Amino acid sequence: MRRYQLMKKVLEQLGVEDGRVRLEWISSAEGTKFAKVMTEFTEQVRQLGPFKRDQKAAAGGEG
Amino acid sequence: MSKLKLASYWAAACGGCDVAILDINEKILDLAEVADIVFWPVALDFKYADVEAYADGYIDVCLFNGAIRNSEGEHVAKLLRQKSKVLVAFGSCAIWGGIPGLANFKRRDDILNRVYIESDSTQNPERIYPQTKYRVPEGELELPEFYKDVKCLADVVDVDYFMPGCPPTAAQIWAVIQVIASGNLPPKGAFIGCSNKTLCDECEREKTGKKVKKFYRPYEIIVDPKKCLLEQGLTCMGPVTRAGCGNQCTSANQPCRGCYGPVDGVIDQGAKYISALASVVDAGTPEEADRIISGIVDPAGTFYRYGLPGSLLRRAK
Repeated sequence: MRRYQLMKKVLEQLGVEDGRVRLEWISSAEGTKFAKVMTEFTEQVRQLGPFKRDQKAAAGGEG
Repeated sequence: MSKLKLASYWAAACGGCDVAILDINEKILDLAEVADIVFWPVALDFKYADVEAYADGYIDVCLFNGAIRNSEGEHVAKLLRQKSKVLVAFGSCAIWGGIPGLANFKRRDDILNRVYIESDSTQNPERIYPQTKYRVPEGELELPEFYKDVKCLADVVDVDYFMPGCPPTAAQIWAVIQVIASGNLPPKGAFIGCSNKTLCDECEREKTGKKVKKFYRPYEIIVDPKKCLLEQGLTCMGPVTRAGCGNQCTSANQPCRGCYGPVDGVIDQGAKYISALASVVDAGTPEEADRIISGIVDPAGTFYRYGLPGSLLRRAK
């Protein structure tokens, strides 16, 4: 948990925003929950789309 | 045996690597006994045209320091690769981007805007930026293109050996020169002038397994000279950094900043350190952990101080 908290702070500085990282505990007996979390999260990341800063940088020219 | 032909170049670098070569002091005379220096911009007056005139493979060993920041760096890297039998990525900038690689936290436009428009000492009402080509009555002037990202040397050319350090220590440089002169080269791709243990393994400070309630920056505490710096709350990178520097920083009561990079088998030094550092946080609840972790100023910049372009993410997204 502490690793996850620290990693989130580092990722935030690296432009990977909150909604792209999620930590869940799901037991092997919780198939329904697994499917629900994965579907939700996939949809959430799809909504966020590609990294925005990168798009802007690409418009400024390739290096 | 004919004398070795040696070259050194600086791309995006501070000059410290070149000074480190000079720090071998009087042994520079012994170096001149075994090697002819055929290109070294910081110390000797050679031009790019001199290098272009050499036959391919003419240079036996090229020590290349600095990251690839612009098209000039890439151009010279490719030229020296072609002219050198052995190309060494010399110092942390050439290997992982180093300090100049921290620019990958920003976008190119932000950097140019800061430097040419915003900075307090700049007056540029016409918003003039440097151009790669500019026509004047005497002809066309050229400047190198400033790249979107800082790159590592191995991103643009094939590299034979990697010699870490910011800068590599003089003792290691001399040891490596002797190995090169003997002709006993290690396998391609090897890290040279260093150990494959971590700095922690070689550190003589006392470790007690104590956990940390609060992190400090070096100026905020007077450290105990005998005890582990990490256990005293300093973000010492020793657990995830390759040894070989002679523990210079920790010997001077300063935390390791990680300049020798990760040991073999570790892909991402910063990620490894997240794991190591989080494990010493002494918190009973997530809220307390968050409070303690929030005491670390600029975690990403600290954990990737010498290696953002060479890390998994390579830049801020």
